[in-house]
Amino acid sequence: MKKKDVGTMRGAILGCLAGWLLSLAHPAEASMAFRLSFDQLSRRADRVVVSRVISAHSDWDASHRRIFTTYEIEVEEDIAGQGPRRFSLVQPGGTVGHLTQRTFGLSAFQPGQRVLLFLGGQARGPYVVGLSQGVFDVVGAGQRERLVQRLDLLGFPDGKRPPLTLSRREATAEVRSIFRQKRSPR
Amino acid sequence: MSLRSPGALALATLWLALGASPGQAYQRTPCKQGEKCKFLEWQAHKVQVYLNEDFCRFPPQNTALPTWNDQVCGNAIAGGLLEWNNMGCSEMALELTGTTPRSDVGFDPSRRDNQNLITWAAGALETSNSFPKGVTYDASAVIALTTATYDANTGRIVDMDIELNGNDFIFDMLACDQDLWNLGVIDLQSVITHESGHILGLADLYSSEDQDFTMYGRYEEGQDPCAKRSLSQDDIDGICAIYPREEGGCASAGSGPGAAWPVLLLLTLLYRQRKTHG
Repeated sequence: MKKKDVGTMRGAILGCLAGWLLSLAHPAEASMAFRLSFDQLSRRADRVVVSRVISAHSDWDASHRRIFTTYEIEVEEDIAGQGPRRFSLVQPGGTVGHLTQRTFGLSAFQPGQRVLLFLGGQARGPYVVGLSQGVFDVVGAGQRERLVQRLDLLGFPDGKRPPLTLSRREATAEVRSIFRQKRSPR
Repeated sequence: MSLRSPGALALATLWLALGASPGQAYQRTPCKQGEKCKFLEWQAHKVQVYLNEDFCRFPPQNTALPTWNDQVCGNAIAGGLLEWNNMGCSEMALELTGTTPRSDVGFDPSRRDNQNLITWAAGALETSNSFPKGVTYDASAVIALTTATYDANTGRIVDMDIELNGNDFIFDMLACDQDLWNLGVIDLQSVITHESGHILGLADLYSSEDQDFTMYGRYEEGQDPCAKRSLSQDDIDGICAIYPREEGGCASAGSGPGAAWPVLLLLTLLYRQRKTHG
């Protein structure tokens, strides 16, 4: 095979692979929500933490109609608000045996994942504010650490926009500023 | 640029993989990462849907405008579901089987009386009676919430429930009125038609070119408030691709955009190379 042919083939294969990967990553939504800004997420939250998912366990509830997943979460840093260093987050959805139950718009987590969580309901049991809008994946490390918002299968009336992305330092400063305002209302 | 150049081939592949083939914008609801299945779909060609018996009679206070009428509400629900039926190219049919006292979202594999439900969300902050003590999730910003139960190996849906949030949003049947629409009133039949697409396994579209489609996921000012009540050809194509009529009609039972085209293109190219140089 000539050199030119090898180049042609390589280009086509790379193109095919890129197309294949992009088609797999193409998002789709099935629940619809009102979009919450970073400011609104902070205002609705009782606690904001950078955390690590320790474990995940799915099981049927007592009525055997709904599957719930219990995540054990360990707090790396309390950005704002207070609570236990380790807590359980229980969410509808999960897989038991061969059956998956999914409430579109709620994020699932894998053990080992690091996430920024906007949490509400501290007194009654924590929940994530705004479904998956209140979940940011921690990407990278050190100075390059970024927080990227998840929008799992969640649509918005104002259409699709890129997920919010900001540095951990920016996020920390903004959240703490809003929590200070919440503590001292005018 | 020659069509045989690597750049052209790469672009063509990307175009096809992203589902930009003519007349095909629809997207299917994917399985989760790590599952064997690729997309969600029903095995049966008739899906029975039940309406919670209080849905039309006792709407949440926020939604209960003076114009609310339980008879018209029932017609709107039926109209939204039945819009997906009687396509020449598909045998799939949605049936509004009746009303039910049940509002329990979910699926019990040990029982035969599971129902696909349309119901109001329990409250601004979900605290369903069927939830274990202390479990909540934030539904206050949610307009419509879909819960699916399916086989993780095959993608076969066994149950699909839709909850509308009438506590924080206003639904009505007369909202084809542009003024009401601009005040934030959402047309119930349009929502049910759109959500019925989700029941069948279609996902939202967001390209501005797709705004005439029922599965377009955006509601905006100036738009015909009732545009989503009627299916576009693309919505029909989506259903016919997932659930093709056995004889005639749709030619393809493909898995939506981007499923097999890249592989086919690559194989064709490899075959041509071999033929030229072999």
